[in-house]
Amino acid sequence: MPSSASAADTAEETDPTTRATYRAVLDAVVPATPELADDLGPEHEPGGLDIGMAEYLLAVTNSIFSMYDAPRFVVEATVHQEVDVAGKAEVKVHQEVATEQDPEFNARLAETVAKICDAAAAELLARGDNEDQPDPTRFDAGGTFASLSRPDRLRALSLLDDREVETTRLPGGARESTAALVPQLLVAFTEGIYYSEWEGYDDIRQPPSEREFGATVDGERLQSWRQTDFPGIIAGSNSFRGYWGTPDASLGEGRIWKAFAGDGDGAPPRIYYDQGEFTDNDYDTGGYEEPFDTSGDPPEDGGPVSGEAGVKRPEDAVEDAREGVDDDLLDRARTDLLGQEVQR
Amino acid sequence: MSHVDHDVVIVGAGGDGPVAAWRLGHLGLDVLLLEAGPFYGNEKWEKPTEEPGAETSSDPADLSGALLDEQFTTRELEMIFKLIFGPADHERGFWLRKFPQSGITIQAAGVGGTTLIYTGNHPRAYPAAIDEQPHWPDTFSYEDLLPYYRRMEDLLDVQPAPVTAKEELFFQGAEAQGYDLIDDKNVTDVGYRPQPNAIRGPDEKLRVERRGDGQLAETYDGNYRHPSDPDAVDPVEGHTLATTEITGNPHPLGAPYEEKAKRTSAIGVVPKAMETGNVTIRPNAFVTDVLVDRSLGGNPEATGVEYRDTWSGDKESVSAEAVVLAAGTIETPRLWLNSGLPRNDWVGKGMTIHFGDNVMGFWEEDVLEERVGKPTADPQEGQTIAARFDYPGVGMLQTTGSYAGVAALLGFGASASGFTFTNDPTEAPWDTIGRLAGPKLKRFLSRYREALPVLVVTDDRPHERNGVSVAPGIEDEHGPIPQVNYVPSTGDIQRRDELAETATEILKDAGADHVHRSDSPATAIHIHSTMAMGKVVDTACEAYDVDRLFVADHSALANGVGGPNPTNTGQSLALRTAERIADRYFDCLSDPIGSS
Repeated sequence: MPSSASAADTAEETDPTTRATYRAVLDAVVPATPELADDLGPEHEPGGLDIGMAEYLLAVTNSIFSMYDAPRFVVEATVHQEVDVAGKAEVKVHQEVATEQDPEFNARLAETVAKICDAAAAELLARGDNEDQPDPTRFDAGGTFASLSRPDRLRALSLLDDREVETTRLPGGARESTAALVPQLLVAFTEGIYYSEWEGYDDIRQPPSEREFGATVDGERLQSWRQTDFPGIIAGSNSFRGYWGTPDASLGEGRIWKAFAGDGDGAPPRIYYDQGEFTDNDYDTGGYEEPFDTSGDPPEDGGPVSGEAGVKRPEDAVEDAREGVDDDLLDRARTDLLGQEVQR
Repeated sequence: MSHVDHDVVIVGAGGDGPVAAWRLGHLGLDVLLLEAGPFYGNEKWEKPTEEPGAETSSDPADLSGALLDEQFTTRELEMIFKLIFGPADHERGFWLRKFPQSGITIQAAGVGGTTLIYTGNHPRAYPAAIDEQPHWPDTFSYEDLLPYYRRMEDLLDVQPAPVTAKEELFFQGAEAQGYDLIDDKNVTDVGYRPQPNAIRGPDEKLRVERRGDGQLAETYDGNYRHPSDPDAVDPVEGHTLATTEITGNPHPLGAPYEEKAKRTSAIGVVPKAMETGNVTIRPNAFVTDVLVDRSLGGNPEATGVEYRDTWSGDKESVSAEAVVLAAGTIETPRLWLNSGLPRNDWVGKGMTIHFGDNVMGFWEEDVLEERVGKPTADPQEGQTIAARFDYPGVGMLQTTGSYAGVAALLGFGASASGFTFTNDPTEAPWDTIGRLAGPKLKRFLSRYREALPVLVVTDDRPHERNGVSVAPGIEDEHGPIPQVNYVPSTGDIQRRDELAETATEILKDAGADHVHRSDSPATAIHIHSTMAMGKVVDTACEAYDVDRLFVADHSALANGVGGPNPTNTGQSLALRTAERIADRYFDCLSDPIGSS
C-alpha cells in the first residue's frame, strides 16, 4: 500500500476531474441507499462516500503495479471525442492526458482509468442509451462520467466489458492493457475494499507495523460490517459440529452428533464426534470416459474469453460497443437496478 | 571444475521448492533456496515488508510464531496487499503479468509462496487424469506418485476436514441430489466428501453442544490461543475455525511457528528443511538468469543462476552442480525464456488454470434454522474450504468460506458476462448471473451470513495456445514480463457449465432460495503444465534440452490433474524429483521413498 508521503503526492498531483470520477464510481458501486434503510434498518443507508473511500481507491489504482527501475515513461490516454447529443447534452472529452511517470515506483494509472470512464460515458450518451439527463453539477469538477446518474454510470462501465483498448504506454514501447480491466478494477476493487476492514485504519498508508486498526469508528462497528453482520476479525469460533460419515464408510466414528435420513444410494449419513480416515483404496481407471468434447478447439464464436484479439484503439472499441447493442439491456438494467417493472 | 558454491540451487521457496530442498538436504546435499518475496515469521526480518533485514536464514531457531502472529493479521485488505505476488517493500505494487482481458493470476510471494494464501486442501489427483488422459508420458503413472503422496500427507498431517454449519448445508444438498459420500483417497467416481486438508483438526473444546431437542449451545469462553501462550484463556490446539486461510491464518495465536494449524510449506516443510542443517534460505532474491556452460558439446549444462536483490537492486550469481526451477508456473517458463536457453516449442505452453467460477447460494433464515439449527450459514466460521464434490473427467466443486470483502470480490465483483442487468438468466438454472453493483449488491451482501459460495474448478485441458510468453521491450526490473494467454476449448466451457449447474442443483436442494453465478473471468488460481513432463522435462523432471536443470513446481505437471487442488500432487512430484536429482548426479540416494 502506498506510504503517507506518496499517497499525499498522488492526491495533490491528481486533477480534480479525475478525483470526481473516482467519487462518482464509488457512489455508483456502493451508493447510499435510503430505500434499503426502510427494509433492512438504518445501518444499511450509508455508502462508500460516507466513509471517504474515494481517495484511497485512487491511490490504489496508482500503486497497484510495481514499476521499480523502469525507464521514464509516459502514461497516456489516447481518448478524444466530441459528441453532440442532439437536444440532450454536448459532451467533450478533449483532453489528452499524459502523465510523466516517476520511474522509481509504481505505475500511475488513475488519470487513464478516469478518462476511459469518460469515453464510456460519452459513448452511452452518443447512443442515447442514458436513462437520465446528465447533470454536470453532480460532482464538483466532474467530467462526463461524473455527470451521469448512478445507473447510467454502471451502464457506461458495462460498455467497456470485453473490449480491448490501448490505454497505456509503458516501458520500452506499447503495453496494452484492456479496457475490460477497468470495470473489473473499479467494481471488484471497490466492492472488495468497501466490504473489507478498510474503514478501521487510522491511516492505512502507514507501514504495516505502525498501522493502528480498530473494529469501531466513533464507538460504532465498521459501516460495512454492520451492513453484512460480519462479526469482525475473529481468532476462532465455537462452531465445530463433528465429522461427516456413514456407518459403511471409513469416515466418521464414535458417537453421533446428528443423524440424517439420507437420499443417496449409500447408508444414511451422520455427523460423528470422531474423524475416521480416508481409505487408501485400490483403484481401476479402466471405465474412464470423457463426458465432454476433448478436441481442444475453442468455440466458433470465440467463447467467453476471446484471447489474443488484436489490440484496438478506443475508437474501435466504441464501434464494437455500438455493434454489440443489446436491445433488452436497458429494460433489464431498469428492473435490476431500480426495481422497476418493465413491460416487454 | 572450479569452486562451486552449492550442490543444488533451487529457484523459488513456494509450495514445492521447500519440499525438494528438504529431501535434498536430508540426503546430505548443500542446498541454497532462493525466494523472490520476503520471509515472514523469521527473526532475521522483523519488519520484512519495511526494511531489507538480513540476507539468509538457515537455523530453525530463527523461526518465530510470535512474529508471524504480528505480521499475519488476517485482515483481508492488508493481507491481500501483503501477500499477492510482488516485491517485499510494502510501498510497491504487484509485479505485473499481462493476462487476457480482465483475468488475473493469483499467486503469492514469500517463503511458502502461494501456500501462504491457499486453503490447505490436499486431495490427490484423479488417477484417470494421469493414467487415462493423454497428456502424461506412458512411462509415468499415478502409481509412481503414491509413495510420495503418502509421505507428504504424513508430513503435513492431511486429514478429513471438520463439519460446521456451512459444510453440513452443502452435504445435505449433495445427499438430496442423490450423490454418495466418497471415503477414498484415489477417486474414480462422482460423489462428495470432506476435504482432505493439510490443516490440523479443531480442538474438542470448540464443539457445539447439541441437546436432546436439537437446540445448539456454544459454550466455549476462551480466547482461542495456544497452550504455550501465557495469555491464553482456555487454550486450544489445531484449527480455531475462523476462515482465515486466504488471509494467512497464523492460528492458534501464541503457538510456536511449527504448531500453527494450517500446514503451508512455510510451516510444514521449511522447518524440516532447515533442520537438516544443509539448507540455506535467501529471500528477496529474484532470479533473472539461468547460467549454463555451452562448452561441452551436446546440451548446455546448468551451472548456477543470477539473481537481483529486490531491496538493493544488486545482482549476484551463485554456482551449483544442479539447478532446480521452482519459481511457479508463470515465472519458471519466463525465466527459461529470458535466460536464452535452447528453444523448446513447449516451454510456457499448455497452461491449465482450472478455469474457475463461483456459484453462491442464499438462504432464508427459517430454512437455515430448520436445516442447521441456527439462522445463519456463517461463511466466516470453520475451515475455509472443507467440503468438496468430485467429478472425474469434469472437475470439482468446493464450498468456500470467507470474510465479507473476499465474498464480495469473488461473488459479485468480477464477471466475464458483465453486469447482471446485461444478462437474461430466464432459461438458466441460476437466478442471476454477472457482476453486481449498486443497491442490489448491498441487498445481497446484507445476506452475507446466510450465504454459501461454491467454487467451480474445471478440469481444463492443456492447449498449446495457452501459456506464458515474453516479448522484448515489455519489461520490468527483472526483464521481459510474463504475458499470459488463455482461451478455453469448447470442452472446457462445457465442463465448467456442467459444474456450475451441478453446484446450483446442490445449493437449491440444500434449500437455497436464490443462486447467483458469477461467470468469473478466466482467473488463474491453480496454475499448471507450462513446463510439462514429456514435453519440456523427462520423467525425472530434468529438462530435455539443458542438463542438470530440473523443474520442481506445478509447471512440470502434464495437465491439471483432473481438477483436484494441485498442491499435494505438485509437492509429491517435487519430492520424487529431489530423489531423482540425488540419484542422477550425486549418487547419494539412500532409503528412497519410491522406486526410480
